[in-house]
Amino acid sequence: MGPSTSVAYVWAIVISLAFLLIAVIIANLISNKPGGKDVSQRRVWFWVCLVLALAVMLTVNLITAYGIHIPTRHSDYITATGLSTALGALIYVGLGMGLSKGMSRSKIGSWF
Amino acid sequence: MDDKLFIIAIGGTGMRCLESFVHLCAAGMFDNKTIDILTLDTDQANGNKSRVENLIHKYNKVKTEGAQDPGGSPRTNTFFSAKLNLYRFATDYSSAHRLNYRVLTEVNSADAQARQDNRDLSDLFFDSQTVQDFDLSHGYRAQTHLGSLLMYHSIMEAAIKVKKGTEDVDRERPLTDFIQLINQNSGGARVFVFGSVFGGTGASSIPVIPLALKDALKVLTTGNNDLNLNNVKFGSTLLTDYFTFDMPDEQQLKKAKVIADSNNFALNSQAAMTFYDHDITVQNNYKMLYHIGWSMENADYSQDVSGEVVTGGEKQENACHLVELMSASAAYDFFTREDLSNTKAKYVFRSVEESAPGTLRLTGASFMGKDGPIFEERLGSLLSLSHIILSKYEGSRENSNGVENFLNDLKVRNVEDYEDITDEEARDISIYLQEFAYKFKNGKFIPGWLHQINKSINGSFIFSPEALSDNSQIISKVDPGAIYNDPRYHWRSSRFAIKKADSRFDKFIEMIKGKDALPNEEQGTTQKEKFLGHLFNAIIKSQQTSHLTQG
Repeated sequence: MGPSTSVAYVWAIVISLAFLLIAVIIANLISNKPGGKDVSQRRVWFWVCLVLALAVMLTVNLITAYGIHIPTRHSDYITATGLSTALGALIYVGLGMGLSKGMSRSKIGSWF
Repeated sequence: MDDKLFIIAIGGTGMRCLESFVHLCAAGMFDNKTIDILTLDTDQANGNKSRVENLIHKYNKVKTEGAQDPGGSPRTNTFFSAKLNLYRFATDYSSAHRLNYRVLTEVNSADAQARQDNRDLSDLFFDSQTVQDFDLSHGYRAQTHLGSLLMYHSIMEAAIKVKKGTEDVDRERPLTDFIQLINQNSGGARVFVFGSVFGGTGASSIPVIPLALKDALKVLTTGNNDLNLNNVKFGSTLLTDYFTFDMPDEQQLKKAKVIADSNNFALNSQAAMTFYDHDITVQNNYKMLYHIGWSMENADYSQDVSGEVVTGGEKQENACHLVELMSASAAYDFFTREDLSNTKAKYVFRSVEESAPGTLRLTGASFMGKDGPIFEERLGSLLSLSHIILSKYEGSRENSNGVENFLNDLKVRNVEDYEDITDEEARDISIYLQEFAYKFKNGKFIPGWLHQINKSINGSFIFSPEALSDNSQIISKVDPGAIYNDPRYHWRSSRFAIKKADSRFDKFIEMIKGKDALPNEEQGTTQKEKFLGHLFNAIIKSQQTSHLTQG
């Protein structure tokens, strides 16, 4: 036995939300500066957080998959890892865009 | 109903006092007022006159939105809140038959007996070798006995010419329009006169102005209207000597016949004080007279590239001085004073605290009394705005446009409320702020009005030395949120911030982006007015402690 493929999706959702929260915190920690340099910094950090989120999702799920010894389940989990990572990226970007557009005058408005 | 407000600025010193007054208007000290201003000089080309007229032009460009509304509208609780209307009049001593007293009065044109009588009378009052013959186009050169007569004559002559309507009256029309406007508001008007009592044109004109306007109105209305000086209330400064300049050499004195001698300014001031204390006409025609003096070393206005003493003309463009701001503050007192029912002139003064002998300690109350906190808050807000635009957004170079840079920055931050403000309109605001604070021309620091005022002070002003530094390194890095001597009025910053200045600016931008600082209808209806109101609110709300609660 081992964890079901839904675990991979749960991890992806949790990690993408966690990194989105980190991106929000970083965006707010970056001070407004004349010339808009801070705006591009926030944008860069948003995408850096996405890359980190994807890396963490893959790492966590691959470690989880490593503990599954039944080949079919292992294979299913690896597939779910790929799909959940894509879903996590979609959630991160979609939610990030929604928040950014919805609060365009806040610091996270710099993302998009 | 509130009294209608008028300003008359006379002579070089009067023009510089007016300059301070205009900057107080830009800081928002005269909310919801329309102020009609007359610049009156004998010297059409005077550098100080041109400078203040250009300043009012720049002020009005900031307020103007489209051709249908020149000079904009009066507003409340914002920068540039007063509406200013400018009227200009200069006496005409340009042509050969008006060049000096002798030819102007045509004392030689009558028959032999009358000519002799005229000569005797003129010689009795005016030195025939010098005073009757000097070139009047650079003013009355401290010859106030001559100046009062000639200024009264010029005003009456202008009224007669306009009334006749037979000649071109473009030169005289603004003066008579101004007099007519006072007449239209004769139920309640306040007229404040700026000028010195120790120089030439201002000192000559202050005693006769109320009477000259009253008599000119009689001419204009064929005697049907008379100014009731209980309703049309006059106030003025008794501004004694505060500057000096080099004595002319023999050659220049011989050529010009009469040149004001700054060594006599103290004596002139003393004589003038005696006159103002005793003269019944002045006492009856003025409601308030404000004593303003300077006990420190006098400012040196000798600067002239050629080494000659400047008697007037476009070269006469002196730096601004603290006493001129004091004079503008006197106008504020006169315009906001509740009771002016006195029948004789009141003479008032205010003392300034010294932190050590010869070292002034200036606060808002030194200028505005009980309204000192409002003054500190508003002047400081305009200085903060200047530093935001000139230092943070690189608007201090002569051809740069800091306001445009700032607006573009707001756009990047999704603040798109002010997209309709054109680059040209943004430049108008930047240019005004350069006049107020400072600019760089060919890499050289050019002090604006507030820096010039600060330079004239020996002691502490309301603002920190860094906020008014003339060092390009310091001024380019100045923190707009920490300009006051008193740190209670610094802008809020994050408690944990390592760089407080960055944190203060960060919070200011957040204030602009948020809803707390949005302007209301009283602050303006056009985009430019809303923009200025928005900045005003954001700057004031950024301060950790309000001046008004502390005041």
